[in-house]
Formats: sequence, structure tokens, C-alpha cells
Amino acid sequence: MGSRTEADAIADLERWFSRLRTGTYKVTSAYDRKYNCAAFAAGQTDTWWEPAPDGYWPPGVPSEYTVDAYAAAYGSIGFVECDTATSERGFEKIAIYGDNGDFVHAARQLPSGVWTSKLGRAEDIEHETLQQLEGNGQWEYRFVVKFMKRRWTTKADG
Amino acid sequence: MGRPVLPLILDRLAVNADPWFWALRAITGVDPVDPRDAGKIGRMAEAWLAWGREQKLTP
Repeated sequence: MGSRTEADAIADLERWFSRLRTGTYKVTSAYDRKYNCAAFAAGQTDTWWEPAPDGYWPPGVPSEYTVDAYAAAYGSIGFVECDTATSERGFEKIAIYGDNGDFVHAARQLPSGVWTSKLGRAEDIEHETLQQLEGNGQWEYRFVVKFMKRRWTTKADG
Repeated sequence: MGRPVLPLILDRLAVNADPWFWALRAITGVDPVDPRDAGKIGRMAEAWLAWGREQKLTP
């Protein structure tokens, strides 16, 4: 698993996220600092998405660490708000976690309906539910506050 | 803290490209990163390391 063993990664992840084991999950990448959760949710693994000037930020989107600004950033690549996490054929979805209006994390739904997340600078995981990363612990992502979706643009169309 | 920590931050940046850019900007008051490279951690790190060499903060 890159800079640390998978066993070490799992030990850390289960310490950071107290609900992780309430569903199935698996580590799917090595530790990598080149991209973050916001970029990964947008489907990018070579860029760090963060309000300018600390990272890439879509032109015209307010440089704020708010859920609304991140939603606008995803809106710039075709996502629109939707009501639920339920998998919809032909659409990919993202879920935004927030804390009092501040952006905390974003997860992306795979065609299978499972979610995938980049955990800070650490590994990517696939996780069965969004709730597995929720909580009020130091490293937990608080709670999902917004869903967005766009039509699949690749051969992975559901 | 302040300018004395710059060599330490730049050393760390050289080793693992941890995104310390906000701290570097806050301490130095400059930003040598080309805006077109925003989000490209490797290029952002290279820009800061080049700046550090120009300032003779790193070898």
C-alpha cells in the first residue's frame, strides 16, 4: 500500500472512523498527497481541489470553504443538486459532508452503488454506506448535508 | 516562528510535497506558484523549492 502496509492503513482508518466497520469497506489505493477528497469526488487523481490559491479551484466559484462553494465547484463540472443517495441508473452521484455550513468531505458513488472516498492525504477506500464516515470524532466527517448528480460521461454508464 | 522555520518547511516540502503552501505564503508574503499550476502539488512544491534556492534558504 505504498508508504505503509495495508494492515497499518486499516488500523488507522478504523481508529479515525468509529463507524467504518458498520458496513463493508476496502482500501483501494496507496497513501497519496497529490490529490484530496474534493478532487477525487470530481474524478481527478492528479490535482488538489481547494479554494484558491491553495489548490485548483474552478473559475468563477467563490473561494470559500463552505458547502455552498464546493457545491458550486461541482456544479461547474455538471453536477446538480438532488434529493437522495439512492443509486440512479445513468447518473453518478456525490455526497457532501458538512459541519455548520463548512465543507468537510465529499464521496463519490460508483456504478455499483458503493461509495468511494479519498481520506484526506491517506488512502482511497470503497465503502458501503455514507454513514460509515460520519460522526463527531476528531477525524470524522460530521454528516452528509447535500447530494449532487450528473449523467455518467464514460463507458461506465449504468 | 516565522522566517527561521522556512528551511525546515522547505526541507519537508522537498521530501514529501506536503501542502505547506499556505504557511509559506503567510510567512513570506509572496507566492511564487504560477496560478496555472494551482492544485498540481508537485509543480507547486517545485516553485517553492526554486524560490527557496533563490533566497539561499536551501542548498
